[in-house]
Amino acid sequence: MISKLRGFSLHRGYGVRNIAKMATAAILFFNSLTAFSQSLEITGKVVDENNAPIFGVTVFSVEDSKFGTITDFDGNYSLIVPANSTLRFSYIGFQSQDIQVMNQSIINVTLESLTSQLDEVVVIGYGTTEKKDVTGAVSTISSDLITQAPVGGLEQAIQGRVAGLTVVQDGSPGGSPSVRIRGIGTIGNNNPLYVIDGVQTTGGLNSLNPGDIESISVLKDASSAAIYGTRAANGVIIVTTKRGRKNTPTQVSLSILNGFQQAWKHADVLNAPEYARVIRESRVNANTQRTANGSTDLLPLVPEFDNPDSQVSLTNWQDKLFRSGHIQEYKLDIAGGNETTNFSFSTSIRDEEGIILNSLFRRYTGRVSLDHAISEKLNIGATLFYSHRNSQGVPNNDIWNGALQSALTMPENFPVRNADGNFAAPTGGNAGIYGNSQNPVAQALRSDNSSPINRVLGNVFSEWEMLEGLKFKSMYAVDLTSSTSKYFQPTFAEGSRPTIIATLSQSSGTSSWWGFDNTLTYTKMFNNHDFSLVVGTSAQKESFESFSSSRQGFPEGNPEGLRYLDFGGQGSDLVSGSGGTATLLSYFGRFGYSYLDKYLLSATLRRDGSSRFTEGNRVGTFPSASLGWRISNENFLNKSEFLTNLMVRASWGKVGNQDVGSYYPYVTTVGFNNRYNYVFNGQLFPGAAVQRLGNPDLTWETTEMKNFGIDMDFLNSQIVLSADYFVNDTRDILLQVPLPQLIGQVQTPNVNAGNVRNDGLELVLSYNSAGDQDFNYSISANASFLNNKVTSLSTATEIIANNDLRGSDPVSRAIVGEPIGSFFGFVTDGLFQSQEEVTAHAFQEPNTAPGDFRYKDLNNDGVITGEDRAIIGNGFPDVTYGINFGADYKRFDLAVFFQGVNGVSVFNGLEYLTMNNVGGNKSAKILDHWTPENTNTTIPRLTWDDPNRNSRVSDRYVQDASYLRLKTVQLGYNFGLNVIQALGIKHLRAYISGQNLLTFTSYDGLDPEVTGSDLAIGVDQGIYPQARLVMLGIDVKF
Amino acid sequence: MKKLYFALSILTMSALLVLSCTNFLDQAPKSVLSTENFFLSESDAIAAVSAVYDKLNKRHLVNATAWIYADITTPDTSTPSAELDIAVFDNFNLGTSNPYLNGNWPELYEGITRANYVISNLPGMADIDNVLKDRLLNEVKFLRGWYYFFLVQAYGGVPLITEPINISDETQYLVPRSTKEEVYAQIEADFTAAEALPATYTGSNVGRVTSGAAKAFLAKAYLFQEKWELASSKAQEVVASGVYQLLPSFRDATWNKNTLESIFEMQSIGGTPGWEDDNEGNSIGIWARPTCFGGWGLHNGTQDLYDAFEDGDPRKSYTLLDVGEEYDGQVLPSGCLPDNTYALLKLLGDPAGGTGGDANGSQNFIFMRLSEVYLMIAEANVMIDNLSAAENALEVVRNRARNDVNADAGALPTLSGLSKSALIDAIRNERRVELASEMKRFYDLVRWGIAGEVIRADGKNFIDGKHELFPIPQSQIDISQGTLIQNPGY
Repeated sequence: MISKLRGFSLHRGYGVRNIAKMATAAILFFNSLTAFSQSLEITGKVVDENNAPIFGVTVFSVEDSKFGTITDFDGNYSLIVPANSTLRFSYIGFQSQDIQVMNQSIINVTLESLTSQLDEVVVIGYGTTEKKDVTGAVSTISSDLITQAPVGGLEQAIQGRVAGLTVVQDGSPGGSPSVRIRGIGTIGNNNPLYVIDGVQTTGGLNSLNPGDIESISVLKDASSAAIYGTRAANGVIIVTTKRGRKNTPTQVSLSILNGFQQAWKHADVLNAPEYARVIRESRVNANTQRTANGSTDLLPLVPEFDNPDSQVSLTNWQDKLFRSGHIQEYKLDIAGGNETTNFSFSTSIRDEEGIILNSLFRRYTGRVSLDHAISEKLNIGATLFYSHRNSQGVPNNDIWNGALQSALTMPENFPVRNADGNFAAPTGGNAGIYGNSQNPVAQALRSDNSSPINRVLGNVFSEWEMLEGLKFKSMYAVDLTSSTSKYFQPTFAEGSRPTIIATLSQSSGTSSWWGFDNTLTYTKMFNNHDFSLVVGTSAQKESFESFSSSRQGFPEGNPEGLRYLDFGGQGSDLVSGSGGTATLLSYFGRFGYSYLDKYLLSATLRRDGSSRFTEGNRVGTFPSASLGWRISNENFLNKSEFLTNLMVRASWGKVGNQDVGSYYPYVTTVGFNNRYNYVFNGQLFPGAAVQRLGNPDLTWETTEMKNFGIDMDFLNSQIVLSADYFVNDTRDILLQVPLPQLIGQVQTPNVNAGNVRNDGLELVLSYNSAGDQDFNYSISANASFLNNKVTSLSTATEIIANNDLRGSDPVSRAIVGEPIGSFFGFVTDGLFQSQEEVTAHAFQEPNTAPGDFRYKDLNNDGVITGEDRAIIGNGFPDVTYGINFGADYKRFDLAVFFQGVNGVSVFNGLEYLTMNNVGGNKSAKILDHWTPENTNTTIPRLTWDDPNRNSRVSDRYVQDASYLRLKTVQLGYNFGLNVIQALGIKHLRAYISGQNLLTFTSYDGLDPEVTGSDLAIGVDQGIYPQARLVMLGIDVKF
Repeated sequence: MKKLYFALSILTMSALLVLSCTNFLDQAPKSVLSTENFFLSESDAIAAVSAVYDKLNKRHLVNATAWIYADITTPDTSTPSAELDIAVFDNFNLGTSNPYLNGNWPELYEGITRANYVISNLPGMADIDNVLKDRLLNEVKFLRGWYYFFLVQAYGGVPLITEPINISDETQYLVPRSTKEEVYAQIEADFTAAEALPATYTGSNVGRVTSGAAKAFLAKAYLFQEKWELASSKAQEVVASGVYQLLPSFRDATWNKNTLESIFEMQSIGGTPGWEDDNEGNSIGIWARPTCFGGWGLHNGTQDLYDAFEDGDPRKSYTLLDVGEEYDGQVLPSGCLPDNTYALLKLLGDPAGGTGGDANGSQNFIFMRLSEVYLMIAEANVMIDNLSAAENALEVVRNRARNDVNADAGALPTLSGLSKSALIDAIRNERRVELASEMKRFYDLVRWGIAGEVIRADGKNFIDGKHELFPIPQSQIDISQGTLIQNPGY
């Protein structure tokens, strides 16, 4: 038809010749339509063996698959096909059916399921297996659960879905949550290994589009993870992306999401009159004490505060800093395939405004995958994924520089802007009384930083069945990231510490990883014996190169158009650059055997060599083994209708960790750095000094993992129960053991020292209702109980974290016998109520008075010193859990997901700041401070001088941060056939989705979910509150 | 079968391909310089020595800590009470978490470590001129002595580390405190070795340690140990060398860079990139600069210091800036500084050296001037009853001030015929007003045994037997596995 139209051109205007041409074209077009006059309209319903409708069944004409549709939520379909077509009904997990179209107009079909839940295929390391044959601890997450939460990042999407997998969010748009599998095993990098289409990586997951994911397997114990050797100590998460299917008509899906997010909580701070009264009283009290001591140096009182009620609250800073952020997301997926080839294509855009002014996250992705069967025995395939992301915002969880911290310490007496239009902030001699606070709105609006990251993940592979049962697979995968960042710090004049020179820093870096995996798989079954064997090699190389530069001194007024290095002050150049490479070469094998599907055995062995260690320390061997006994297949239990599966499993193995942080930890390095320079008579002389001590004896960390599990399946997977008990011992952990400063300020070397133990219990329970036509529901819950303990630390008895709060003692440390990242400080024992009590107690400070904290004298020496500190809590939860409820009724579907943590403490650094900040606004709790009239309280007396140092790190700031969150709710409606047909599409669903709608917690801070480094786990330095999202979405399939 | 062989051969080839990269795991270090590849050239040696000088210009050494320890603690200077971390030094409310207490110790020991690294590696260097080698070695020995001198004044006896530490031997870093005497012996040895340095430098070497500096500080070390004869004779050597002269203008002597009167200075230049410790600018000025002039206003002179100057002494107006007086084209308004305090002009320095804003000023800071040498001669001699020698030395200092263009007529009369105790008081007071705000006062009060008396008279809570020394950082006591003992009372 088209060829006949080739001569037709619109450009030449409408002459007679052209009209003739148009007419010809029209006639031909209508002719072709009449060829359809021999077509039939077929409708019908597709159900399964239980008579429940199946949604999404592909119904198409085998002769010409462009005549196709899919069943709606009720299982109904309607299709126009040529007469004498063969209609095929196909859906994953079911036996396809072909039905010849004669002249019937209604064709109803019952599809038989191919498999039960137990036969579901599970992806494991370098292979797949059936769910029922898994003898290790492996959990899976399906794609509909991954996309249920309207969030942008993969880690956020899987929070709470798998027992033993804990995700702690950081709240900022495009942020990096921390993901931990079965606790924290080391002081260094605890990120699990992600294997995404063969690419092995530990970070940058917010480049991925969760909508591209088909399934996720979480390998939690050694028998499943050991095949990844030295990268597996923190567990492995295998991500499989969508690829389309053979013999499926092309499906186009479009998904649109739009909504808003807001902070779910604001902190309670003083208003202006309260603030004035508190400041005045604290200064008066201090002066009273000074006079009593005979001093004549008194604090000047601020005249405006003499009448506190005359002060007016001009600005609620949190209201100004937080905002409603708009989120939008668009996704397009196209997938399909014929007998030999299948493909998928997807692209997505996510644009997210953060809940704090001027913060945002943007991501664009594009993905193509292709699989082609050259012959029955030879397949090839390739995948290419590209992502561009960028985020912007003020520092999060940063007690010095965060805008959030400024919002809580800036008094309400100030307007956002002065009458002259400039931002307002405390200046002059009284700035200290106002806490030298910064204007948070100014901080947020001024922030000019962007770090666009471009990432490409790709693979190319082939699979060849050389002989019956013997397959050879070869895959080459790459991961390339190129990132640049630009950070401009403008000058500003407001406040007591203005910045008078602007700085621009720009940096650029590329990092690349490639992996070349070759495996040979052999499977053989005879009699009742089932063998499988995988052997393979893996070679990996990662490298990075980066450089950065900065200049100071930019044109007055910080014009946006001149924020480039060309306009910075000559001679203020600071440049630096570095690079590195590391490689890994491994051999591995897995042997699997089962007899009668009753007795199962699996064993793996992996041998790794890493370039990070010197010869002689490079090679590690990681074995594992697991056994399973399917008791339900034994004669005494066989054929039970009720108990469809009962299996007990046990596994043991070793995995390793070679992630030291530096690629060359064995070198003692000397470096040049502008920090070491000196000037003689006005001329710059570069300086060089020893920077880091090397350790040539360094080698892997090893974790020995044991796991015992039981799986029970009732009524054909209607009820599933699973329990795992595990014990993980990490040895030779890589530590930078701190040494006395007599050695100077060099970085101490990493040594293999120290052991950590994680043990716990994981429980999973799920129930699927038998379901009838209209109403089906399912409930699943998982819970994990974890204990963590540092069992030894070589020569040191403790490792102190670097997390002081604006100059306080460090809050966290790792101590033998306690969890990593325990809080360490003084122990309070109420407040002194009288001077007699002060004298009777151990000596604290010369001017301790009634209303001050009484600290316990733990060593009974009569004096409160640094020796009287102890462990005051830790950030490890007793139990983390998730509860998922799904139901569908007629055309409605509902999913409700709760996630919670119980028995966890947080050191509330934000409260520490707002109670102890000298000057500046305070937490509203301070209104309950001690006075001789108000003695029944936990808040100490108001005094500007704080002679008793009530501001010490103590148990006063450790709070229970247990929480239960209504994490995700999604209510959807699937439009019926009449609407779908009228629109000419195959499926339409509209839904409303909410994230973090309700939070139940007794924690005072802005959010009980607090990320941080593992050594400093659970210290809240002012973390963004989680956003409450409400989104409306539409899914369309064409 | 054929298929099998074909298959196996493909497999073997690919396996061999992978295995053939036998040095796949040998990755030569990139972007790191190992110690074996250093100290090979002259420029390496000079760079390593520059890094030893570098510690002079750090917040937790000279830029903040030195004056917090030496001046804020005394009635001479003060800080607004809101600046709690510094104010605690004003009233001796020192806790274990103070950043100025915790930051000073590691900076000093890093300076010592860098010096030890040079001292042990430099002699073995082949490719360097011997004269240069010896000079660099002695410069670094002086600096090591200077850092130990700071340590012993602030903390008393400290661990003596004179060689690079091998961390596989824990006895090399679990070192107990030596006695004060042992530390001074090391200091004397290092300063004595440095006496061999050149008397002067030219061009871009100006600012390096000179022989005169070594002698002057050696004299000071003797003075602090009350070795009066040695102090006096060593100080006389500095005068006798003829290299130094008192400048007629006290202003020039305290503001100009590398003058004839200056013996050892911290060198600075503005405009180098980075914040504070990262740049090579002067970061002292901004602390003392009043907020209405764009500084932080955290280091101010007191009324007590103001009253200590004799009538008509021109040094008062060169040291303290009062309300209504002008600096850098601006007049100091009232209300900018706390009542009864003054801006410290010596620390603000010459306005031509920049505002010092962003901790990047261009002024130097003078550690030792010739007038201090004269005062040392005076003090040493009066203590051994050479009253006339003492009076003569004292007179030299007073004479310069008396003849200053801003002196009142008849101010600062010549002192003679005083009794020993009156002369001692006069010398001590002269030292106070001549060297006010130059980061020395507290240590003088301590060594004279009058710290408690003077500071308590100012209403501060100084406890004798405790506060003469600062506490060693608690974290260092904790990590020393019992080898380090804290100073008494902390």
